Amino acid sequence: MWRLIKADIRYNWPIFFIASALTLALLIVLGLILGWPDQDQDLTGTRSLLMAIAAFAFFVRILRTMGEKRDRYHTLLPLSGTAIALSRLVSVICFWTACVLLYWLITLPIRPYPKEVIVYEMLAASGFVLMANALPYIQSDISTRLRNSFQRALWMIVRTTAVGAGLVLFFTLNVTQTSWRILRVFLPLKNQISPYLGSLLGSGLFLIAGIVATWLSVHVFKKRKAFVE
Amino acid sequence: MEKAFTYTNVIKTFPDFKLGPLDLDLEPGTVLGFVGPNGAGKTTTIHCLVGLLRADSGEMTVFGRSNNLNKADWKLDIGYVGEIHVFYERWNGHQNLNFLSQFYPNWSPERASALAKRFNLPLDKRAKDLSTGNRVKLSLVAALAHSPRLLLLDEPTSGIDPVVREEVLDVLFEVLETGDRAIFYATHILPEISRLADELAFIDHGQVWFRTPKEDLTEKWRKIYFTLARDDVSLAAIVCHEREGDRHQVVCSDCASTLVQLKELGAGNIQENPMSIEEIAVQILKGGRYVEAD
Repeated sequence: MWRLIKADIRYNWPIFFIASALTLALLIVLGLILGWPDQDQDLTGTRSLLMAIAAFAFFVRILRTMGEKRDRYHTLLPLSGTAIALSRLVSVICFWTACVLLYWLITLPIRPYPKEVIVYEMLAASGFVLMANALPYIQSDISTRLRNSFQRALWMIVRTTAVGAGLVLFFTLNVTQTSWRILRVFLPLKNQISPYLGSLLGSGLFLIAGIVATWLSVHVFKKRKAFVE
Repeated sequence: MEKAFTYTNVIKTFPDFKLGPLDLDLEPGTVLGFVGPNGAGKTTTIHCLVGLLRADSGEMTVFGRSNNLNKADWKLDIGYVGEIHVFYERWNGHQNLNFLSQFYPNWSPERASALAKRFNLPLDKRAKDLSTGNRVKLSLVAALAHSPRLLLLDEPTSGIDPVVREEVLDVLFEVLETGDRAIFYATHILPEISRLADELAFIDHGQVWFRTPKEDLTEKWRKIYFTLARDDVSLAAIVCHEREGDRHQVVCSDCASTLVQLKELGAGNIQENPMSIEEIAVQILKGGRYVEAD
């Protein structure tokens, strides 16, 4: 599995590098121009931006490799289905972890957060990234068992749900008392989830959800009826 | 001795096509030509064995090991070249071969280089910039560099020009000379397989209609012309029978028995003509009208 992951990172490093550089540049420029906001606001804003950039990198990667019939290629290798399915997610996680660690290292001197908050943030964000990356694979793997019309319908449902959930999450994490009035509808939700996100319980739940999604993606991959794409 | 592969009662169903029930096997050291028209089920048969498709039922083995999709060891014995050649497109030939070499303990970089040289393959070019012929060659190098005991070739020369096709076939001949390798070669282009194959299996509509050693075909199949005035001409082992007045033309699958019968019936002007593999294949696949000799 590690050989596939290494190959994937080697193959996609320009995309990963550009995405990482853009993320860091954007965060630092925002920090310099706007000043580092209060602790909560900075945490949520950072989280959202990193999530967005991870998703961006993932989708760019998918777009650039889908046409190359990667599952077909890897299925022919002497590797188990579990190894192939896991490798699809782990390389993105490697990229994500590197990106976040770098960001925290660079900005640590000017933002002295408690260590446990950073750890919880990382756990929650990793769970989110796992979920966000596993779901499209689950959808595409399930599609191999469906007729074309059902495949299209499933793709529409998943895409709409993902975009909707992503927007809700983004606004919930970033809304403040000074945001536009329409966005303030997310304030109660933010107030409800904020204590959990910065705690072991909340971040643990996110991480568990991410692991469940990962397990499901491996299981669905192994049950695919076809790898011919 | 363990079979190179076995299919036992394998069925794969699509909305508009059904493969099987399929029973097929291959002895090590044998080249089996798998012949059929487009859409006959050749690719589906191979895809089920290599794990690109999951069969609905039945069992398949590769050198005695089940082709369990969640295990990996059985794939070490396979070299596969399909109609579609997949690579890391932005990597060059060297990089793609290096990547593959990590997965096969038997991989020989020297062998890969020698084959690439033999094919005149530009390994420094990115995969996406290679011509169709060179993509076929790169696939062949990748499939042969780990010296697999079973080579599965699915129309490997489709879409390439006759010169490259000849080169590919020459290399396959060399491969055959240097090892006890089993080759399963699916094609609808008869001349290329008639050079290589020890046996031929004919598939159409998802069913293997007929399998025979190649020599049996060329020795036993004949086109026979004769004259006979009788209306009730009934011959065994006849695949095709055309008549114009008292002049008859038959294609038979067991020339000796047909000739004996014709003499018994009193046929005159008997003239037997040998048939090429292609002519025989066309007759066999024309509606599967093969008739077993008594």
